[in-house]
Amino acid sequence: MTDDLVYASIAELAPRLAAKELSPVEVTDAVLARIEQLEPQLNAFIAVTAESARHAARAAEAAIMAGNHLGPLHGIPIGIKDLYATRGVATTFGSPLYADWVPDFDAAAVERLKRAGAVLVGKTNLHELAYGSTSANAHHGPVHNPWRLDHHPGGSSGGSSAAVAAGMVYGAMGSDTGASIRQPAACVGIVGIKPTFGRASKYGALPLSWSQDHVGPLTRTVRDAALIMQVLAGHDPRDPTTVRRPVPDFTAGLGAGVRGLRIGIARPFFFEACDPEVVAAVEAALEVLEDQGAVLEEIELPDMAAAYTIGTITIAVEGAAFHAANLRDRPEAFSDELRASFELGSFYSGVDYVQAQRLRRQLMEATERAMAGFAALVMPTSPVVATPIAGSPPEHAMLRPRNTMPFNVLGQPAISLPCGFTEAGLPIGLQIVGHAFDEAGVLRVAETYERATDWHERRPQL
Amino acid sequence: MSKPSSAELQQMARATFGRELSERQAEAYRGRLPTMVKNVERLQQWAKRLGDTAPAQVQRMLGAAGDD
Repeated sequence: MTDDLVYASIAELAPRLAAKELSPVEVTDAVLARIEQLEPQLNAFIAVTAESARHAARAAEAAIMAGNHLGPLHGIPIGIKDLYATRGVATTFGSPLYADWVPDFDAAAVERLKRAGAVLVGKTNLHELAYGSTSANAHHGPVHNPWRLDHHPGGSSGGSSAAVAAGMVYGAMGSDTGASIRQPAACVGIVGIKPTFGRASKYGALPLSWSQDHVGPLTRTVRDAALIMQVLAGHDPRDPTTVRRPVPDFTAGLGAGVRGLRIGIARPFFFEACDPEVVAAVEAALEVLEDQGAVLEEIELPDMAAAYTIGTITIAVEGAAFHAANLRDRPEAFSDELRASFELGSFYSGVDYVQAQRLRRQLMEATERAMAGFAALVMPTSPVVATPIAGSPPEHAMLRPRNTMPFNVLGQPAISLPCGFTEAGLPIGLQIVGHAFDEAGVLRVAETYERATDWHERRPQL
Repeated sequence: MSKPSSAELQQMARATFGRELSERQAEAYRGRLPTMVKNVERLQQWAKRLGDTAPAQVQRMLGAAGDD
């Protein structure tokens, strides 16, 4: 096994698999060996499904040899956050509440990945019930950051982020209600995209907040994120929030560059109270985009602090509603942290919740007006980088999702990609936000930055 | 900033949310309750500018699911 193979991108592997130069069995064996080697250090998985992965890899190999190559994900090993129902494989949501649940169906995302020929190698660890941003799971143990093993990898999709960064999988599914794809991607120096609300089906994914949950992938390159989003996107009658809107080719604009595109820089709120090393890295990234021909302009957005507050209220209330029966009947099955969070959600009144949703509508409309003429917004993904698992500053609990939460409230697509490291060697993320249903635009800007830099080629020493 | 006492937390819960807290609850909620009180105060401030705005509609009618 070589680092070259486990750290190849999906876009690099796909043509070699299609051309029969490389077998899905060889690729799957390489990542399973990598998982066996690194899992004791990282704790990125709740379950590794080696036997079924090898079976799927052999089936993919047979299909490709017979001339039935299904597309770029055929034969590619992928991790699935243990938030998605997987037929015949225990699905715990990172909680003892579901320790014994073996679904008899696949979540829509899993179904689509399987249909595209992906090889599922395991269920990744997460913050309990996806409500938290460190992945320090009280029941399955903390996930460790591949760049600094005593640091958290972000969350809630921290098992997915750690596994992708460590070369244990080529991509992994995450979910994002306030930060949970983009912030863990930032913490480990990889790519994570949250599509527009309604773009991809959440069927079979555990809800945290029905109106803010999004599904999406974590990968090592922007192009790989586009390839997986292509499979995930589309209407699903089982998820009434998905829209019947045509899905464009997300890779079509990659390579087109950003010359002449107006990009908005929203310094109030998003650049405030940030780690200075984060701001310096993002300012340098802005210069790169300007060098690539983008037209950078300060933009005045509506009250993003309000958007953040609406997000915290909405998650608290909707989460408390979803977990109400278990809170009443099995409170001991929640960690103290989660039990308190969900109990407190019931403190907000019905009037509070509706006022928050009315304000949300105003902000959605005002943000769209403010962004007219701009292709995208650029800002730090998170004001802070990863911190030690033991001893994360309490104020970071609110800071970690601060720059990402507003776009769960507003529903716009947003991506995080690596834009540097702190002096201590911890990755920093750049967030690019687009107009609703313009994932292609977000990917185009991100890929332009990625192509001009080499942050995505750095690897942790493991 | 000093942490609020149990008595202060119980007063906050009573005044803002109409709830009585046990000692366990006061201890468990210590980190979050003050922020929640601020959130409600902000909502009350913002409510003045809502006019006739209807809530954000992110769910869809049965039978119309998926219509754009």
